[in-house]
Amino acid sequence: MGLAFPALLLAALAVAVPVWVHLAFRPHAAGRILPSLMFLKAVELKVRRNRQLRDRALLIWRVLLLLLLVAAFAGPFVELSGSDSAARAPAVVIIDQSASMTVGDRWSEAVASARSLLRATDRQVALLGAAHQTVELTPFGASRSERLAALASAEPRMERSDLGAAIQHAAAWLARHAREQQLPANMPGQVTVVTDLQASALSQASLRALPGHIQIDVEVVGGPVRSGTRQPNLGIESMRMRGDSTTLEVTVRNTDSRDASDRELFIQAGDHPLAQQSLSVSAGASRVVTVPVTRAPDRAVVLRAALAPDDFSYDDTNALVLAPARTRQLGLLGAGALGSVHQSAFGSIQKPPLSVAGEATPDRVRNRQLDLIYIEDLQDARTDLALGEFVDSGGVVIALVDSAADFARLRRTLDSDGETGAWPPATAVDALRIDPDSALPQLHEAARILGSLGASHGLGFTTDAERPALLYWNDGRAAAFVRSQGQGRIVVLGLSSVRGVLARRPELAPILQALLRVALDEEAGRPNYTAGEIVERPSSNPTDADLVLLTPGGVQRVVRAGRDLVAPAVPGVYTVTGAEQVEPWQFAVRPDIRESQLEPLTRPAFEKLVDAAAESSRPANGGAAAPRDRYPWAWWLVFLATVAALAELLSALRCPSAATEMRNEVQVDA
Amino acid sequence: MSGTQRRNAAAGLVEPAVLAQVDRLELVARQVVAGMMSGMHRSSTVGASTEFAEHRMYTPGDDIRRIDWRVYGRTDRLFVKTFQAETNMDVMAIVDCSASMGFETGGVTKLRYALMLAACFGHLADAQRDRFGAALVNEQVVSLRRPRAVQDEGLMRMLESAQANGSTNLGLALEALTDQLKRRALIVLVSDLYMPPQDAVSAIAPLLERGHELSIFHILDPGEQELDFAEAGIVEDSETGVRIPLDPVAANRMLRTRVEQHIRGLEQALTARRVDYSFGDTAVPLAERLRHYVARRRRAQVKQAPR
Repeated sequence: MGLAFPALLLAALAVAVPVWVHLAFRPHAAGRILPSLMFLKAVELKVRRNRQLRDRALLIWRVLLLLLLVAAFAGPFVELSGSDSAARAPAVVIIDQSASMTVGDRWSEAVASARSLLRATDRQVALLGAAHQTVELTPFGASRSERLAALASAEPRMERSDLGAAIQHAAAWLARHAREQQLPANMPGQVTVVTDLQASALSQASLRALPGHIQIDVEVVGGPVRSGTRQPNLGIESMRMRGDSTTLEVTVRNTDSRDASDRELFIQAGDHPLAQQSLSVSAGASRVVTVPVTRAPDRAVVLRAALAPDDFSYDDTNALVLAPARTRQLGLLGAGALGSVHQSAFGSIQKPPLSVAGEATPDRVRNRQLDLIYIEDLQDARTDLALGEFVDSGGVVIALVDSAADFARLRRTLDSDGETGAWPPATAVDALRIDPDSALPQLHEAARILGSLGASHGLGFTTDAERPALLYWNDGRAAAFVRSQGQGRIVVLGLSSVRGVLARRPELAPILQALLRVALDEEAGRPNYTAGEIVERPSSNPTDADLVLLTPGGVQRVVRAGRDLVAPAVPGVYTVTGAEQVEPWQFAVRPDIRESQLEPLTRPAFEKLVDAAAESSRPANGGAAAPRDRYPWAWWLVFLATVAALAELLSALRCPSAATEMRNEVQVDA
Repeated sequence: MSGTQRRNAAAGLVEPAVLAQVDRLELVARQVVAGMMSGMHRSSTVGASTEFAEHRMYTPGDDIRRIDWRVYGRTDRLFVKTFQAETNMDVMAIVDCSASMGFETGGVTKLRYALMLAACFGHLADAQRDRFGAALVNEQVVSLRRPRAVQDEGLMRMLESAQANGSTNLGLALEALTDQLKRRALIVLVSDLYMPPQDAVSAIAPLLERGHELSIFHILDPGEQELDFAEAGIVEDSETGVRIPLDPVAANRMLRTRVEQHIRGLEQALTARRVDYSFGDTAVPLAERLRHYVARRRRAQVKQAPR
């Protein structure tokens, strides 16, 4: 037995009112009038007032009624004992399907965790998938095998998830299930979220009204939160090469209020340990660790830093590609590779030096002899190139896509080594507007432009491996994608993209160039880029930058981004705000992505956020939800009780005395 | 019909409570006086007058000038001629209308009873061609109508409009009233006389000093002689507002004795001053009370009559 609103029991003090009424309005002796007391004064008597209550039965009835009313408001419910209660309480398991779950083993860990949750309980469990939109994978009535099958077939999506909306969805689902099963509305329910707990996935705005009777648990998979080996108060802030390209600088920052001492910093080159240094960092301070490196003559090397020996991962930004000490090599695939097209497209590229190495053969790709691969015709693309691995190691792939079939083919090509997952998403294929007739020259034009801007450095405008660098907007549709994969970039250009847009809106050219310059300057570690006059940077640290917002007025803002921001380049993640005012070619970012939210989210922070949301929906009396919401009829009862009390008060005022009750008023002390 | 009511009906009397339901005091007075007459032989005040009344046997001490010698010549016995007394006196009814007079437990208040009594006196006076007046007093003279030979409706309206309120101070009221009465009169005072006998004597002293003949009707409600409730509680003095707790059972043990002592004290004190005092409660029919009064008064007149 429990009470949903135990604080409401204080209302039981209201029983003092009827008691007072029965005391104060008991019949008083009005005084029998006699003509004269001349003969009676001598027999005056001592009297003792009797505090006897009037109409005890009525009083008891009223007090009982009041107590019952209070008890009803307090929301009593019967808790089934032990496992019965747990077995009856429905539960919802939410599995995070955001793009960040594709990193490392997070998805498999999440699936395993969710599977164990589904197997461990006999209660009614529903399964939700949380991405940008919440998907109901299995309802409450599904069997265990159906739930496990749905879990096995689920995949992460290249979207940013909104766990707040998913939790909200789960709460609504629980409420709906309770209604359908005729269970108590405030019956405890449990929501378990299996997630890697990215800050961007938890929008506080969507957690405004969490019912208090729902318990929310979180199973964290992947990342530093799970590993437990990395001290939470120390983090790698940045990795960069000095100008001589022989010294690696790793900035370690202590974000905690405690000093960190005797910590170890591990540096790895490729799969081999490179250096290990001890360091101590004061609270709130940063420390730069320098490590001498040597560039390989023939291939790029990935440098990774970690604060624990087992914490090297592809999914974080604690990595840097050390370019080989040679001219960048461009590999070609398809017709362009055999003809003279590439000569016009890439011949003018001078900065930095880029040479055309010829056809991108599997050996060249595998041995990392190429830095950039241009796929002009996907019909000729080979599936044995292991392009995913190539991109992961810092390579850049530029692909020409002139049809949905080409897009799917590109996916297969990139998937040939099974590393690229589900990118680009199928929904993006339909968004492409392809003009086959002008495809080639437009691509060449785009390639020329990009090449003149140093496309050999890759088109990544960002240093974040998980972020897309560019979302090109054409007639309201995504026409070009640049997506980071591992340490490299994949560029997919729709054929009608660059040239058509530039033809219609020539002012776009300097904007695009400025954008690219910003990215290239950042990558080169040169903060003083020429486009600075049209760029407002909130941070002087270029490695922190940069979602880019383009407007007709130019590059207006470079938004500081945290390392955990996961925002794949698909429509819906980037949304145009105020569509009627925004030009079709504009870039835009979600307005709800703010700097304050771009922070790693720890379990305590998550729980605090959830508790705050639950608390905000909880009334001041400590109840689980507003009584007005849960007991709409209760206010009518309050109204009726008030009217009854007033009527009682009026009747007591109108009939204050009754001569026949005199014996209750006075007792004679003989 | 109770035994008392049956006896009263047989005697032609009407219960005061029944009479109290009649609004017009004049009708009440006629009824009462008619009832009174039916219960007694018509007689008149015997005394010196020009209207022959009867012969009676001569007894030593009689005035020999009243011997009817003609009868003696026929019968050889001495008879004395008596004559119907002719009176033309003033009758003044003074009714106590203090708050205590408003008490009732038997259907008629003491005030109503007193007013009916006064009206009866008015009716009797009118029948005897006497001048009749009335006054309502409590601590002062509330209303006054001086005696006059011909009565109009104003007197009855004054009596009918009387209300029981105020406290009693007969001393002040009667002193003030004495100044208003120029001629000697038969004064009929009706009151519950809640005052010590000495105070009562002091109150009527001015009237007696002026030579007025005083008849006092002391009336009480039956409930004043024995409390008719048993629950202990608060009782309040109707005139002073004083409230005291009271156990009626205990009070009744001594109340009757004290009332009787009070009545005896009044009777002794007033009779000693040649005041006609009579006590009765409001349950006593008016006619019976009047009859007793008349009879008592006739006896007194006979005693006082010159022989």
